[in-house]
Amino acid sequence: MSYIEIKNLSKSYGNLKAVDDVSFNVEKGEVFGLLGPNGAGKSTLISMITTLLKPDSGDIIVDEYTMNGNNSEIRKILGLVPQEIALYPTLTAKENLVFWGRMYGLRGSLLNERVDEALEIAGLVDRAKDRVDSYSGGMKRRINIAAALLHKPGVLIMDEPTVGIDPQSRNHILETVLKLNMEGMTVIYTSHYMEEVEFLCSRVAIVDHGKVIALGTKDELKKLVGDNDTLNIELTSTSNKVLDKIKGLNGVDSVSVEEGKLKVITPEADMVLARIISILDIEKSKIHSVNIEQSNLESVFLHLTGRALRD
Amino acid sequence: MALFIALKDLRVVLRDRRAILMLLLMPSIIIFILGTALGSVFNQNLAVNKFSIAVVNNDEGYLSSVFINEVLRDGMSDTFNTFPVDKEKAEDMFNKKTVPAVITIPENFSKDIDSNKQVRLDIKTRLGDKIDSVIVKSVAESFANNISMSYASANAVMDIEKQYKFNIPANGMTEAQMVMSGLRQKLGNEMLKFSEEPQKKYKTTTAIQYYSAAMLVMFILFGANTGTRSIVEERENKTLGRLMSTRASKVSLISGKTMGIFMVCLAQALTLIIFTCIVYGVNWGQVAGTLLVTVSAVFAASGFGVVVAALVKTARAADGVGMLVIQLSTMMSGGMVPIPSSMKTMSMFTINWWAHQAYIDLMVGSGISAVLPYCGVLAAIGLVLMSIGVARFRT
Repeated sequence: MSYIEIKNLSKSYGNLKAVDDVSFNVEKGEVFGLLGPNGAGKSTLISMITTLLKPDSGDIIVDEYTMNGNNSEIRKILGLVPQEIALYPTLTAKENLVFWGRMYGLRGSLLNERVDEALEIAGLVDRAKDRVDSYSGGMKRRINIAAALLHKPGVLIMDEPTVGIDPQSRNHILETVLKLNMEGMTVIYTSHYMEEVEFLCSRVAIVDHGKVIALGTKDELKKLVGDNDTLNIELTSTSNKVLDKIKGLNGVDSVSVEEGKLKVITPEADMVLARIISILDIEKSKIHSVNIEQSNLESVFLHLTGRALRD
Repeated sequence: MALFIALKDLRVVLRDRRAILMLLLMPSIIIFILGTALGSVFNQNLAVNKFSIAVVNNDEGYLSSVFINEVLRDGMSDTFNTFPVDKEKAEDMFNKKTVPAVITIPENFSKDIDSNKQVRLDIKTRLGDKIDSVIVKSVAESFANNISMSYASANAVMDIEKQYKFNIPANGMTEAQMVMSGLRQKLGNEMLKFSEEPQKKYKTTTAIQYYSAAMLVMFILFGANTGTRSIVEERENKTLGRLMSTRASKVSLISGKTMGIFMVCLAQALTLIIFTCIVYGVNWGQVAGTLLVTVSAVFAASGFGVVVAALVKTARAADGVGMLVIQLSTMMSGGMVPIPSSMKTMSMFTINWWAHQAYIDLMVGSGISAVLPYCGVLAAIGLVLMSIGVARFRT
């Protein structure tokens, strides 16, 4: 039996199916990724797993406890890092952590000990007595995570924990997650940042329009694309005529435009690149830069949906 | 868990300078401005107009006629007219609101006093006719107490007289009545003046007192609205979701938030009472009564806070709805300017009216028993609102 089992989970808001018959398992000790664009249904899924939202149908079993029967037991196992900074800005970091520790049932010397540990993990021991509203975005994110670690949860559920922060804080968070996982903590990590999921997760579920459209290890998912590479070509201008001509080339799997760059997926990058250059020459379109990437989760998503992750 | 949530809320409010200014400084200034600026308007409105009372006399003795004729009819003639009527007529006058109070003198009133028994006059008053009722109660209770005491003294004198075998002329009066008659002649009716001096203080409450009570109630409600905002902000800032993912249950969450509102409002109310007492010299009346009314008003206000939090979606809406309801109810209850009696029924639908009347009653000298009905109504309002709030609360 898996540590977490999600079976045929569905949730609708009016006519919108936010989560549509989703099933997957998470094994103890793994970092499981939920990858998908904004609005794909990841947060709704997380809200249901953390008992905050009642599913319309389906079952959630965490460490053999079934939801709606044993929600309080499930909550003891879970640590939620919400997408938003769910802290009290006018309280200090330490006051926040003490409060959240109490909410997890910690008292006395154990509470103080865990608060100190959490501050250490967040790297904010020196700023413990400063109000949270005086922190940078990255520091707030780190305390936001630390608050979920106080009761040493069996599963840490992180909903887009790096949104809007500087690279240094982002690295700190990613390293923290890896360290916690190495110490045995199971992690469910949701993000629309492909690089983070690829860096952290052993298995990934790709979610789009409320459905899991692919599930497996990173290698298994990449095999869905085959041995394809991604050509990223930055142009001065693009036109539908150019796109149509490139799509019509032999060996081109798919073509999309993201942030002004052409993304071409192909198993024969060298040969296709030469043909694309000649098309662009004919169409008088100038090339700024060209980059060839091996297949990744981004190209898997593009391959499966025809859209880029951040579209 | 609930207590920790409440203490956290209290700490958050204490860190919010804007909220502190709003909850403490604003009412102090407004009380001063309204009390000073509207003092003359206020005094005209709240001065006691001459009113009427009904007296049902079931006693055929000498003392009931002294009470009716000398105390009520003569002594209090400037303040009210006295109509000796039978029980049915008195009921009718009271029900038709012709009189705000009915005094019933029990059978054997004079006899019981003469024989040193404890006597009491039955006084029926109506909630809301606060000042009139207080005057009548004061006069009647003082008479009953003092006359009993005087007769006890007279009887004691008689005992002494008998002991020393003085001669008392026999003229149809009892010995005690004779002594009392002598005492009255000697003291120039001093003993019956007891009721006239104290009642003067009941004629008006000062403008600053009136507005201290009104603004206290209004700002208790504003305090509750700050709590409402804190609940809604928890939802907006997603801390509510995070709380619900911990071991805190919905019950402990709502209890904690309610307790938080209660603590904030109570701290604010007590601070304002002490402040107005020291700075503006406001006499809030009996301390125990003031505390009871404050706790009841704060409880009702907490219910108001929870119900608004359950009904609105955003902090801005909480502010808007809260402000509107609080200001309207303050106006309806006469908290801004005293309201005409025709609006009284409508004003009884507000928390403000019940709390304000209770404070005013205490200010004019009533005891804790007089404000129990108000406190009961406030507690009931609090319970009903809280039940609605809990039922409608979304996490």
